[in-house]
Amino acid sequence: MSCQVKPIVAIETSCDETAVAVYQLGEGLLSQALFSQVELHALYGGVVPELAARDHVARLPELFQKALSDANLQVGDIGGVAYTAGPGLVGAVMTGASFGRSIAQTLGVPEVPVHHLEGHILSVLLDGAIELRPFPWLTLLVSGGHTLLIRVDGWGRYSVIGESIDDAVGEAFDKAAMVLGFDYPGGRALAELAASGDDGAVRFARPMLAKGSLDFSFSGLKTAFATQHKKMRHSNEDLAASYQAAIVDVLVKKVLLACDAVSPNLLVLAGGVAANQRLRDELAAVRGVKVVAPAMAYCTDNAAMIAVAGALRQAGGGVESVSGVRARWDLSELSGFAVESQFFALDEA
Amino acid sequence: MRILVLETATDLCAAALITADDCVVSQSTEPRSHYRLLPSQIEDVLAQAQCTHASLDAIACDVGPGSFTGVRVGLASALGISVARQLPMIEFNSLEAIALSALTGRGVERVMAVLDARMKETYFASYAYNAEGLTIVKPPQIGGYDTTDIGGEQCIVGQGAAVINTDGVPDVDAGVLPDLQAMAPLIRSRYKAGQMKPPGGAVALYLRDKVAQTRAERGK
Repeated sequence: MSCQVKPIVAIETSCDETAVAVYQLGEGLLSQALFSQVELHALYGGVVPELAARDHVARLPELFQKALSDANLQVGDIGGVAYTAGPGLVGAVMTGASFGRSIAQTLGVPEVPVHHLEGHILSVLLDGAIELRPFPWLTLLVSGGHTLLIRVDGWGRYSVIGESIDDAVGEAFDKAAMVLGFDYPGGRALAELAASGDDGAVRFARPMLAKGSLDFSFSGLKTAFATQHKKMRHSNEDLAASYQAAIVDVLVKKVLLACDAVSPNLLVLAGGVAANQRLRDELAAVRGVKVVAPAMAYCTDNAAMIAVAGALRQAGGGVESVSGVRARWDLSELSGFAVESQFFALDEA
Repeated sequence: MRILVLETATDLCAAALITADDCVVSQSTEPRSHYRLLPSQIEDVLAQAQCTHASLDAIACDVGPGSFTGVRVGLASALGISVARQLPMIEFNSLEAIALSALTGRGVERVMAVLDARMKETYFASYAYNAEGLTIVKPPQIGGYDTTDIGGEQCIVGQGAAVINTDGVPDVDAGVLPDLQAMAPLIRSRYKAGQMKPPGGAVALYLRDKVAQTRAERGK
């Protein structure tokens, strides 16, 4: 039995969300403060890296003080500072990393650089009542920047077995939404529109299913959507529903293919597109494997997931040695770490 | 009085520890290394001055203008230390830092500092210096390579001096960088006068605010 682990503060600034969270192993999430820059970037039709970095640095101090105060903590109570060190927009990552690292330095506590995607993979652990299964796990990580199938062979041990060769799935949703006139990022609005449409109205292709590969391609689908929209033969609702059905169909079929290859004991859904209800419903219906997904609030970028990953790495002897921030960072470069069963136990089904 | 100073807006990356009668500096001009070097420079000056983080009274920081990323590495670091230690913040800008550094040993009473802002533009400001200290003649502003206002200037310094027309100006030196030793009196005076922001309150001075076109401007 180990002694009580002190709370960790985490900073997330890899894209367009500025977030600070406080988490304690054994206790759970103590607080989180988040500001989304969505409105700022909507004017530009996409994230402007320089504006993102500027806004992060302007908002971090207040968010840090709010998170600490909401957790009823003093700085002296903090046992470490985790921060996203990549991958992401390098200028944006660097603001949060500089901020978090200097807090750790001045307080004399460990700094814990965290891989942003590991945060997403472990975001399901924010549900304190989650029932885990022994490894291997299969993770489908779907967001505006990533479409990945990841085999998880242990804590911190990842290999990417499938990925998009062009657009990320979230990007495909957002760009189609823009064609329909929604502000960036309109993926969620498109999904809401799809709920009242006929998903069989337009038969969109299911890209890259024939090859048996675990990789994805959404660029052609996006172009087909724009072409169909120009023809004006179908309502926006029907177009949205048919498009969403095609994307979800591809994702689910690839997951099934990956399940054959990995034989996972747990299927973990993560990333911003994990909030898509149709995707959640269809994956939940996959037979033979337990499926878990984070609460809606932890699908999109947040600091709570960085805090969980950081806390586990700090407690389990797995703090990464990172000399700078990383725009690109292969998940397989990460080292494994140990997790005590008092925090998260891997139960046999 | 113990003030930690961070300077990362220009090619110089530096930390300093200023006390009532001393200033120790750790610095480097290694390109694109500000993020990597700054933490060890901070530890270095604290050790040299035999100070601890807990004994600091304030933190000063160059808020720009300059390299956007460089400005943020120093500012975000300063903000982190400030909120964690609840230290008031002293802002200074890179142009006054360069101007003040150039005045040391030059014997001039007025100096203009210029930085190359790229995209055929400069950041510039002009200062007069007398017994009371530094006063602003031309406030920090952005200008074109061809339109930077050098009227009335006898001394132009900073790397931007190499990209503008300085014909007729007798003293031109593009090699001047901020010198934290030269900045120490100004930072002490701001501390004593209470010219400080509350913890976490320092704000970047970019000068170039238009960095992207909106959808409407692109006609999309």
